Formats: sequence, C-alpha cells, structure tokens
Amino acid sequence: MTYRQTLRFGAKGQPVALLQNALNRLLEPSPHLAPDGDFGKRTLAAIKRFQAESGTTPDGIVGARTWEALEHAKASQSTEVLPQFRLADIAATFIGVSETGNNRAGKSARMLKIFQADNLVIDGHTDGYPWCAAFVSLCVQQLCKQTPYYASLVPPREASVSRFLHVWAKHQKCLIFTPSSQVFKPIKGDIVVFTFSHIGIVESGESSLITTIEGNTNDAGSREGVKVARKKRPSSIIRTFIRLPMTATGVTTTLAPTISALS
Amino acid sequence: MYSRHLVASFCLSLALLSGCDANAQTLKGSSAADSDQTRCIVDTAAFKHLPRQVLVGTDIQQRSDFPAASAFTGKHYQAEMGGATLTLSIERDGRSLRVQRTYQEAGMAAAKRTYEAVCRQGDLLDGTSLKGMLVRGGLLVLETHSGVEGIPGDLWVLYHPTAPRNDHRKGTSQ
Repeated sequence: MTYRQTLRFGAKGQPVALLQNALNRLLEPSPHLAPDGDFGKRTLAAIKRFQAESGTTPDGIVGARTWEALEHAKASQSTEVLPQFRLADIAATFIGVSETGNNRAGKSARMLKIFQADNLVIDGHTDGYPWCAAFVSLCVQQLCKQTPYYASLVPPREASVSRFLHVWAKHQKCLIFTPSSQVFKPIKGDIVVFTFSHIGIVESGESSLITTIEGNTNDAGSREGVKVARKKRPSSIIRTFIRLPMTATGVTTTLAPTISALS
Repeated sequence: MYSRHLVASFCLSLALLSGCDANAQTLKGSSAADSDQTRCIVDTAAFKHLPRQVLVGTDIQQRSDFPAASAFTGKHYQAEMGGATLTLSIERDGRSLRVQRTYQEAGMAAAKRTYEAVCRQGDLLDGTSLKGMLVRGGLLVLETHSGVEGIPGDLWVLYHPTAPRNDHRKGTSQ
C-alpha cells in the first residue's frame, strides 16, 4: 500500500494515517484529526475542505489529483530545495536585459532570445510587442532543458498572458491558486499573474511583499516597461499563481519523502 | 428629474477638446427629447469614493501623485502594461464624448469597446462604467466593468498622449 492509493470513507490503514497527518499540518485551522488510520466522518469533512480550498473536486475521495494537490500544498511549507527554485534562478540571470524602446530588441542577443521564445512574428519581425509572457516562456523552456523533473511538460511558447494562464497552464495541469488560498502559499519558482495584463516569476514569497522577477517592467519610479527587473509586489495586485507540475520522477524523489515526513 | 442641465454640457458642445472648463451651473431644458440629449452630469462627489491607486506601466502609484490638468492634450492616448497595449480615441459626440478603447495582447484579437455619452466637467470624465481624470501629462481612466480580464476594475490606468495609430497588429505564428 502506498500513499498514492485511492482512499475514501471507510478506508483503514497507514495511508489513511498519513493523510490525516497531512491534513492536520496543511489545513488552517487544523482539523486536529487523530492519526488512527480510520477514514471516518471527521477525516471526510477535512478532506472535502482541503479539496474545496485547493480547487479539486470536493467529493471526499482521495485520488491522484488530490494526492497531487497535497504534494503541492506541502511544497508551500517545505524548507527543502525544490526543482522549481531553478526557474527563479534562471530568471535572475536576465535581470538588466533591456529593450531599445517600443518593445524592440535592437542588437541585444538576449532580448532577441526572449522574443523568439514565443511563436509570434509580426510583419516579419519577432519583436515589437509587450513581452512579459515571452520572458516567462523562455525561462520555463530553459528549466525544462536543465532539469529532469519536468520531462512531461510541453514548454510554453506564449506571447500572451491570458493564453499562458488559460490555455498553456491549464493544458499542462499546472496548479493554479489565488493569493487568498489557505492551502497554497507562493514559493520560489511559482509563476505570478497580476490583476492587470502582466506575468512574472516569484523569487521569494516569504513576506507580505512578494519578490518577483519580471520582463517588460522597470525599476521603481520609472514609467515605461523596458527591461527585466526584480520587483516587490503586494498580493492585492496578484490574480493567481501558477505552479509547474513535476513528473513522477520528481514527485517520488523529492516530494514523497516530504509527505511521508508529515506522519 | 433632469429638468436642469449643466453649463458644462453646453460648453462641451462648443469647445469640447479645447479645454472648456465648465462650472456646475444649470441650464434650463425645453423638452424631454432635448433633455435626453443635453443631460450630462458629472457626479463629482462620487469620484471621492473611487480607487486611489493608479497603474503606471507595471507599477502602482497613488492618484494624489497626479495633479489635475484643465485640458486634453490630444485625442489619442496610449498605455502599456507588461503584456498588453491599450489605446484610447476620444471624440466629441454632440454635447458629450465618445471614448473608444482598444486592448491588445500580443498575438490575440483586439478587444474594443466604445463608451458613449461620456460627460466632462473640468478635469473629470464620467460615463457608464468609465471614469476619467485629466492629469498633467496624460489621462487617468478607470473602467469598472471592462469585460477584459487584463484591465483591472479597481485601478486607474495612466494613459499618455500619442499620435493616432493603427490597431496593434495581431501577427502570425511561426
């Protein structure tokens, strides 16, 4: 029996105890379940609450999607180095890269690389349009090349923020959660979508202000978005976070121990 | 209910985009039809209850950072967020204004919306779901129900004056 086994009301055994411990740690306020391995009414109510808060179907059945959500939620609390941290490290290497104005790459090879990360060509040019989504696309592409944990992910090639969120992220089964989530908290390497058309990468989510790295933005005080820069952002202007799904390899080698450690 | 009308409306009909500054005095109407055409009232008090934050590019500033201006600086305005470009075209329409907004995300179809019967009084613009403030160096616009996810309903957006331009091109996929 493994924690990946589907669990439902009436189930008994060690996987249920693991689940109960996980729920006690992840839910706020804690349901204070006795880790007795007995999937009773209180465990059912707690898992339904978790499912509702995590955006999975609140049916009380702990299947693959719910286990995934539990793993993602645990990642929010983890102090371990997670593979997705690399996404923010990649983004940081681009800080300072600037357009020449009017969303043009000029002779900057790194800017051209950003614009070429999406599929958009306008009048024969690969540049000349708002490029924050292209920047995030490029970083995710590089992440997929650099680590084995995202082997199943089809890297994004999106120029549009709304397509990145509503098409690519959903098709790739990314975890999507809001700043008000009681279960998921932003961590390094999450992708952040703002209440206005803009997207970036979380570098640190540990304080009330989230540190991000964004393309087509600016240093504080200037008005035009022209470069890749580090920003401090309040949650009030954040619409959602996107967390990349890791492959089974990543889950079993990285997150499974953290779930087990909850018991 | 609207038997009296603002001098602002009359003034707008004469010199709308040239910086006509009207006071909130009233003008008698003569018929219901006339009343429909000329009613143009800016609820100045309501502006105090509108959001106080302004989106400037990808940054947030306070509305109080932007001193009021008395005149439009042009008919065409533009703003850019990190992932989209917005343009405004403003034209006179009788005693009020018609404001057309275009929202363009890279590679996506443009989302256009026209706001009719937008009233102006001094530095304030007031229409259904659209508020505006003339400020030094541009125009603050608040769309409370834009129907576009990328346009926040709780932030003013700073637009800069610009030359008229064609709609942002949609482009093709590689």
